[in-house]
Amino acid sequence: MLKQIDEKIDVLVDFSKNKVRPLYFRWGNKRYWVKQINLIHISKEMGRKFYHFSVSDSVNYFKLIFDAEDMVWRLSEVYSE
Amino acid sequence: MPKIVLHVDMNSYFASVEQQANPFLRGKPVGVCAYLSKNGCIIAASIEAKKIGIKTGTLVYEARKICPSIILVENNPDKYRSTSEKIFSIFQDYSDRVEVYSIDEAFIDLDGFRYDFKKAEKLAIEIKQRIKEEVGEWLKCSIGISQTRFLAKLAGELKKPDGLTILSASASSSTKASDDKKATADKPEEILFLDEVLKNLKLTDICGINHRLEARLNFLGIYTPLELKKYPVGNLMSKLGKYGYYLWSQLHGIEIEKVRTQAETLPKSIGHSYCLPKKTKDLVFLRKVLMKLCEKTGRRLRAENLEASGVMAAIGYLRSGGMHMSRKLPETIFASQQIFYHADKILFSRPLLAPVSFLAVSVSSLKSASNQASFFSQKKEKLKSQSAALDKINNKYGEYTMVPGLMWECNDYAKDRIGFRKSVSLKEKE
Repeated sequence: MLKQIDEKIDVLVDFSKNKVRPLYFRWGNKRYWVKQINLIHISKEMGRKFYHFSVSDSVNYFKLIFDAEDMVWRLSEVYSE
Repeated sequence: MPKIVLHVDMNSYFASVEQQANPFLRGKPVGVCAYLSKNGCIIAASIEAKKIGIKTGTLVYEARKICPSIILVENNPDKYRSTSEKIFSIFQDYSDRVEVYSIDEAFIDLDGFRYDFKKAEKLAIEIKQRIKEEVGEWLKCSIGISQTRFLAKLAGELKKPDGLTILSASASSSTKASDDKKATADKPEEILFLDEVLKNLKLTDICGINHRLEARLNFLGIYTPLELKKYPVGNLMSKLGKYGYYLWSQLHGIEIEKVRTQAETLPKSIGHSYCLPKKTKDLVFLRKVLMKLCEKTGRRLRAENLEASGVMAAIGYLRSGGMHMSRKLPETIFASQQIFYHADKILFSRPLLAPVSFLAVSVSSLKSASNQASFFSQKKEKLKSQSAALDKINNKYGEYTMVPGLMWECNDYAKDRIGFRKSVSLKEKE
């Protein structure tokens, strides 16, 4: 089931080999390791650029959004069965 | 060396992108909808949904009746555009002549690169692989390879999903042109020949033939594409005019519309339409929505640096019927309020016959914007600087930061929805 969330989160990110890889993030009191980056897409709103990372661990799908202007990460969606 | 064109068509595109983003949707029937309300319409069905009879155009409640467990998601235009840009940028690594035909379709012209069918096949396999590795492993495409743009598209339609088809413009394996024979040893076994393909297709399988044209062709005694190909071209032209020659030459593998890059392609029209959430005769509300459609149209028109000298507007009435009318203008227009002025005159200068359920507006006869100052009036220059200033503000601070007063409290209506036509721009590669 898909849940819309809109919360600021802390993300550990790997910037290497010309790629950006979220490694894990904290949401609530839990740490979620990113096992797979499924899709990365870009959107623009109010002149700001947002990077959307659709990622998953073994039981959930998450959408993480990076606001390139404020340099803030947000958790936008969670899907689990 | 024959000319080679590749046609790449992404399969069940929007639904596959959703399945790519969320792995829990993979292998399941998924429908992407413009709206999730029961009368909303599925604009893309996943391969799994298509197998059980749910296709593009199926209404939400019909889809739920066919498969109660179908997963319906609202469309996300940014996601599809951004993903298409990544895919099309892969194509630009192979040719400088890439034509974006729609958001999920493109032509790659390999003319001048010394490709034969075998090399083109290898390239197609490489492109499929790169899409999976660089964009997403769930994304599949059908690739058609042939000597003309039209035949490449026809080839691409023959095998779906995940197809790769090579179609030779030669009539059949035994009647190949002599200059084609040299390449025969190199040709892969799966190569199809035109006449053999055409005899097994219906007329409506050919791009550019709809049911009405099919009926006209039937009247001439033409029932298959192969019969159309063999029909005397003079007779065809006397019945269908120039379009008769267009169809005949396309089926003979004669290239009459080359692959057009972005710089060579002007859109024929730009427009927006909207199914109203409340069916009404309230002119205040209808004008509000119409203004928003005109503003969206005007913004795109000016972003492309174009002007229009034709306007079309349409309304659909609740239950059935409606009207549409277009108007040729003596002067070119570009401002949203100019588009609104003409659309409003077309639609609302006579009484409405029933509650309105649908509104559409588009501009046509497009040409590059001219900076020629008008000899008789300063009005155009003023309007131009006004539109440019508003566009600058909206580009910087976000869409609809400054809008015409008529659009007051109109945020929830006619939101961004994805179109299938050329809504993706290619970026120049370094």
